[in-house]
Parts: sequence; structure tokens; C-alpha cells
Amino acid sequence: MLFPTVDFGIFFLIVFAVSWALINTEHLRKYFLLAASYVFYGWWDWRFCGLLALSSLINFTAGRLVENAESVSKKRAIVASAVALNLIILGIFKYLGWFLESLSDVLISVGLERDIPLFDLVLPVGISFFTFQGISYVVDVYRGKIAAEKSPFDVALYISFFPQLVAGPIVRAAEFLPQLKVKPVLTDKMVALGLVLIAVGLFKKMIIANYLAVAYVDNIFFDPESYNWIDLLFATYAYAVQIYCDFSGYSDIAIGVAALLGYRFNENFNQPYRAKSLQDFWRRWHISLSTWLRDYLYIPLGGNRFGGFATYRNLLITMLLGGIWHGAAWTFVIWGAIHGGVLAIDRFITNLSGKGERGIFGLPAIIGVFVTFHIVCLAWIFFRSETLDVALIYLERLGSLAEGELALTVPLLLLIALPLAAQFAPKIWMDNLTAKLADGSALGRFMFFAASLLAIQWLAPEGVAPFIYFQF
Amino acid sequence: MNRRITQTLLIFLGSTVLLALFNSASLVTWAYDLDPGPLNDQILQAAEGWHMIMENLGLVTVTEMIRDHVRHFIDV
Repeated sequence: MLFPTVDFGIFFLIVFAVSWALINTEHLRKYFLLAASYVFYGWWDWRFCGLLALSSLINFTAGRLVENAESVSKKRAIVASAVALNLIILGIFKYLGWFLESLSDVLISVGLERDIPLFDLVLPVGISFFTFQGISYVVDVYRGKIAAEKSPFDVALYISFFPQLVAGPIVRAAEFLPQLKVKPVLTDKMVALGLVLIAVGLFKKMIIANYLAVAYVDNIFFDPESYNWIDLLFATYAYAVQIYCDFSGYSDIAIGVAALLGYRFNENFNQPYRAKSLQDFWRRWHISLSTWLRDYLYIPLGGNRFGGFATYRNLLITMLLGGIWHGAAWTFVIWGAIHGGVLAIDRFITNLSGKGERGIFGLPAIIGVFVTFHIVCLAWIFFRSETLDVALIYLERLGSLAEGELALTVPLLLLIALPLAAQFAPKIWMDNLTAKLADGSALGRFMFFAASLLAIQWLAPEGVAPFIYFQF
Repeated sequence: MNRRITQTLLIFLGSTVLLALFNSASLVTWAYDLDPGPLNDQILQAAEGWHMIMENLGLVTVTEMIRDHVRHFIDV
């Protein structure tokens, strides 16, 4: 079920009304939200509801076992088994086909042709997100950040809660589970925040991201050989804007929907293209993933505790695995390698120069913003390209200043430039709008929301394109 | 239900009505795309009937006019 559809509109109206009607019977409310989340997930393919339930059961059981285990070594063994089980499930659905295909290619290239069975499994929507949430629950219980849940339904609701189920944000157990213990309250501020975030998220996704995709980006990345270098350059900028609006739009709607049900999720994007270094970028882009990778991968690997070389290695490993998390393809591996490599080089240079507060590579902040944005854009070329060959052709034509007819138009240029300019706008504008709506009347909130939805419907291209991050 | 929840529900319902008034074509598309079920014919008939009423009221024309202008501007 996609957010900007009639199906979801009807679904959310029912969920909102029933969940608040059950506010005085908190257990029933949680069961209802759990059932609603499974309906939401089963809308794509009901068979995968079993997988979701299995994931919840594994992590709930592991949490209980960890808490009841007497020795640290036993606790460690249980956590390791639970993490391995989560990763095996993810690996089977996401990476087995790619691994066998790559193995077959290698064997053929060395003259050892073998009939390796090729798997073409359907990727369950959101599997990367709910797997990471499950792992974070077990590890947090082990670290003593939260107590193991006594109710399997609370763990199941945490893992499957529909606003964040299929494309994040990756919510931490320590942030969400305590919210299930108290009676949710809907304040004017939460209503206003929910309405503003849903309207902003729909605007970003349905207008900016969808237009850039259908009018420019998709065509150029499909056939880069037919376009000149200016179009290739601007299609890269356009994709940077498209993926930002698409993904942060989804996060905004998810956070807004959760707020309207009485739950709080943390911010997932914070004007990422104004980052003055790649480290700064990862503090602003997909914050729930970058902090997850930091807490559950980078720090356990040793983080920066063992000096220069180990830090650079840990950065590279973390970003490579972050790349592979997005999908089983060499394009994602290279995307991760670019981010990890540049983070390591930047750390090396700033360690030498001691200019940590400046931009990337110790450059002045304003130049750092420009350089960081272009490194991120270079990595986006690999991220967006269907295959490695397409990415290399794209870069070769861009680098050789290939000529041809210009497809870029002034309206497209505005669609690229305005969202980029908005990255530098003061965030207080949105806070003020939310505060005004919260302090105003219900009629004011209705006028804002209804007018926003109507305008978005009028301005958006026809059809509903799926969110980019659904494929992960 | 407390007052704030009722108000918010009314905001959603009011917005839904407004969308149904000005964007009735999407309802028809949605009805056509429904998975097969016992109520499909009735839902489709209702959606088409509603869309026809909106057409006669001129609300569909407003939406199409705006969309044409936007499409022409962006050149899709």
C-alpha cells in the first residue's frame, strides 16, 4: 500500500478513528495497530506476513533468552545467533541470487563452466529495514539499554508498525517500546506537526521527485549515450534532488502519520546537501541508518579507538556494508566504497592538519559544501545506474564533454535549483508554520491540509510512482 | 473520543470530500484497478456516476485546466 493512494487514504481514516476509539483499552489498541500493520504489509503480498511474524518471534525469543542467560558468554552466543539468523533471512532473499550469479560468472571466466542453480526470489518489501530493527532490539537488550519485552505483541508491533515498516526511518527499540507503555496523547502540536509533515512529504514526492523522474532523470540514466555532457551533469544534480525528495518525503509522511497516532519518531533528514564534509553529510542524510551503522557496526568494529589505520579500515568496511545493505549489485558496492574511501581520506587529512572544524579535506566551509555535494553526486551516478557498464558510459561521456542536443529546460532547471536552495533556508520557517497551525483553530488546520492536498493533486503528474527506497 | 481527535477526523473527512469533488477521475481509476471482488461492479458504477456528476458541475474541467497548464509549463 503506497502512502499517496486512495487505498492508504481509506486505510488511514479507519486506523486513525478506531485506534483513538480504543484509547482506554490500551491492549486492544496495540492489537489493533498490529493487525492494521499486517494488513498494510500484506497488501503487497500476504505470504510475506509470515516472514515478518518469524522475524518478530526470533527477536522476541532472543531478547528473553539474553535477559535470562546467566553468563556473559551465553548472552553473547545468543546475540550472535540472533544476529546471524536475521542476516541469514536477509541474505537468502536479498543476496543469494546475486552471489550465485557472480559465482557462476567467475567460474565461467576461468573456464570452469558449471550449472549453478539460479535463484530469483521476490524481495519482500522493507526486509532490510525490519531486519535492522530486529537486530537493534536484541543488541539493545544485551547492552542493557532496554529490558527484554514480556509481550511478544509489543515486539511484533515495534518491528511491523506500518508508518516505518517498508522504508524507515529505522526506529530504535529503546525509543519506541517505552512509548507503548504509556497512554498516547494527541496534542494540537502533534496534529499540526503530522499535517505539515504529510503535506510537505507529499509535495516533495509527488511533485518534485516524480516530475524530475519522468521528465528528465529516467530517460537520461536509461540511455546516457544519447545525451550531451550538460544534460548528464544536470541529470546527476536532478537525481540528487529526486532521491532526496523521494526518500525524505517518505520519512516526513511516516513521521507525520506516527505523530497523528500519538507516537514520536526522530528526524531522518536535516538539509543534507548543505553538509560541508562527508562526515557532516552522514549526520544529515538517512540519519536513522547512519546512526544504526555507527552504533551496531562501526563502534563494535573498534570505531576510532585503535588509531589511524584501524579507523580508516572501519570507515571503509562500514560504508561498504552500508552500500551492500541497499542491494545486491556492484553499483551499490562502489557507491559505498566512494563514501567510505572519501571519509577515510578526509579523516587522514584532518588528522594531519588538525583543521577538524573546517570543510572536507580541511577546505574552507563554503568550498567544502561544493566539493562534498559533488562527491555525493558522483556516488549517486553509480547508485542510480542500472548496471556498472551504464555508470561507466555515463562517466565517460560526462568526462569527455560529449556533445548533442540539450534536453534541459528552464522549468526543469527551476525544479532542480529551488529544492537545492531550500537546503540553505532556515529551518525555523517550518517550525513557525507548525506552531501557528498548532496555536490556531481546527478550521485553520483543515484549510491548510485540504488546500495542500488539492494543490498537490492538481500539480502532480498522473500515476503513482513507487518510492525509490521500497526496493531496498 | 475527545474533541481534538474528532476535529482531526473531520479534517481528514473534509479533505477527502474536497478531493472527491475535484479529483473524481482518480476515483474511477482506483475503482478500475481494484482486485477482483464481489463489490467491484457496484464500486465502479458509483465512482463513474460520481465522476459524471462532477463533470456536469464543471469541477473536472477546473482540474484538467490546471493540469494542462502545469504539464505545458514543465513540458512532460
